Amino acid sequence: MVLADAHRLLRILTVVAAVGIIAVVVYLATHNPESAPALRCPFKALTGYDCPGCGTQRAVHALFHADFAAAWRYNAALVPALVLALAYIVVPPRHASLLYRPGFNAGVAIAIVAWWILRNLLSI
Amino acid sequence: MKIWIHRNGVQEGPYDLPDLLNLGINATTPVWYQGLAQWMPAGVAPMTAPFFPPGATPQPQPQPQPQPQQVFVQQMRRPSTYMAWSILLTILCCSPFAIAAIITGAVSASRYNTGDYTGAQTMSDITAWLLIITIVLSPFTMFFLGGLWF
Repeated sequence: MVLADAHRLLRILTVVAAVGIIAVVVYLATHNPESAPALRCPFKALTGYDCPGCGTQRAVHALFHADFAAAWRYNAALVPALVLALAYIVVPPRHASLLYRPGFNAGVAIAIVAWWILRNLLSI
Repeated sequence: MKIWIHRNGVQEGPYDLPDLLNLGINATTPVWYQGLAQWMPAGVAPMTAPFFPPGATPQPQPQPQPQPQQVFVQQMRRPSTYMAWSILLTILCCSPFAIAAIITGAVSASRYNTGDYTGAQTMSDITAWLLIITIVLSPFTMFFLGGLWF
């Protein structure tokens, strides 16, 4: 199957992405995205609305200064998303856990879209 | 559809579904039909599972199965759903492709649980492609649509 090679390609690309993400995170440790150059969300630039990830750079910067309240204010979904992603890395796939129930995965997708809509409606 | 079974270490069949149910097999009897990746217990294979609800008392079998686990020892590996990367890339890149990857990952897990291993693998492949698209596109969308913020 042609599609089978996708997994090897993705493995290489995730290493590249991880390096990029770590570079940005390290940069944010010493630079405040409110005043220093930072990445800008394409969705926000196009539509003016927040995306599910908007505020992540400010939140990461706040986390480096142990300002958890500010991190929560900038993007309340960031910490839960990081915890969930970590759980998927730690718990092995064959484990018959809640994480690998199809309903739970679908619930995650619904929760992200709900957060996307709600934060724009409520300006959070 | 024709179904083969494994009883007392011997392969039997093919049988039609109604005939099969009259043979007095139980939920642990290994069955195989066209479309199954490998032999599965009758209580697990999608076509026969409805007739062997969990909790039902298994019909007494005259002889114990000689090493039944030998028949379906090769449980196919669960294809990756890439949930960690899907969630991270959804939050960090706000890509619709990453959200789609969460959903295809869920479909893959669902298909695996119903015994459709080839279908689960296909959905896992699609998930991988969606994440590849996300990673390749994100630098371009960030720089050309978002631009740097000064």
